[in-house]
Amino acid sequence: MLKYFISFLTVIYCTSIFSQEKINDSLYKSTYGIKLGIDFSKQIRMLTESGYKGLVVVGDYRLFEKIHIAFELGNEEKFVKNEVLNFNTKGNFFKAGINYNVFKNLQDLENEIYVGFRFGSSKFDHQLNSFTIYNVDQYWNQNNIENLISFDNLSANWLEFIVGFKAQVITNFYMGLNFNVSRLLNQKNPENFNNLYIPGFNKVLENNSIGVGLSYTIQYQIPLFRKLKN
Amino acid sequence: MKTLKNNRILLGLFVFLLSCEPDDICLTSIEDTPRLIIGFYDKNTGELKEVTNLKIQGHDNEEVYIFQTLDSIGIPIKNSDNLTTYSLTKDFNENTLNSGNNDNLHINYSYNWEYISRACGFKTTYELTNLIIENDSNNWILDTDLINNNIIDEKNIHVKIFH
Repeated sequence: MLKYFISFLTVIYCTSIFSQEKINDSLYKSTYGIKLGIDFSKQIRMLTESGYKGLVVVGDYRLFEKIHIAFELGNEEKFVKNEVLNFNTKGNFFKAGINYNVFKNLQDLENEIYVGFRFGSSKFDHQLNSFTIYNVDQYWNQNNIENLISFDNLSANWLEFIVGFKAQVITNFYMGLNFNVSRLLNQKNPENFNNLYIPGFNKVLENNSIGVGLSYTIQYQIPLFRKLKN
Repeated sequence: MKTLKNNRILLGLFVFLLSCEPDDICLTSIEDTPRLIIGFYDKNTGELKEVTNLKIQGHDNEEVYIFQTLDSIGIPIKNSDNLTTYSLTKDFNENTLNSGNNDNLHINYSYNWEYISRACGFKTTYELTNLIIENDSNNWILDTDLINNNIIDEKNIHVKIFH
């Protein structure tokens, strides 16, 4: 049995050698390195959305041919004003996880279409500036309350599913787009208020724990070494 | 071709996610700030008894809250004060100035702003301290009784007024 197995392997080995010889010019190396950059969608949001400020650094390290370890560090500030509430949220967050590249690159192209996940964690504060008392009876007409209330040292953890792509536009310079769907795992809620916005997670809906996000990344790759493609 | 298909999937996902945003509407089924529910009772029998042509008006408020014959009523109290005062005028006649018997009711309480939701904001709940009927030569209100100090809903009577 083992004999057959070994001979089978030998045949495979020979064919692979043979095929390599045949398409010798399609042997390419691909770059392994660290990509660093920013999520430029935050800067676009700062221009288009009033009351938003954010800076997010995104990076990844190519661990295996198809697997990248990815991380994100950010700071966000968001001012929310609706008909009944007026508050600010600010805080820091990090995300860490992996990307799995499902894209088969031709020749020496180094693009990515990936799926992945992230664990996200955020620490933040809210400041309630004013709010409206829900009162159908308007007899006293004093339902707008201007009262500063701070809710500090809050936190939340979540899990994100991510899909996106990255294209190498010039050598070692990548642009990418990704969408994520995240689910809150746990959160520290303020007393007598709620986490309606979580830095890094985005808007929180009160009737479910699913959030969505979008990033547009611009990254520079620091090449470390090059390895033959499998 | 494969990339095109991937892009379509992404676009589809994006549209789907956008459509998930719920409306930020405060539903009317959600309870708002409760009013103080007053029941008017007969001093002798202890049964509900109507007050004829009762005019209820808040102090410092130019608007009459209600003018009718009734045996129970919910009146709104202030959201960010510890005192609300109402004039309760029995046998009021719209055509005659200063008609009827007027009694002043002082409602002392503490208040608390309670968070409801993103769409509804907050509501106020109250804890009654006491009710004071201003003494005059001819009070039609004979006595008051706090039944329920905590005004958190409008399901039951909070105060009894005897006359």
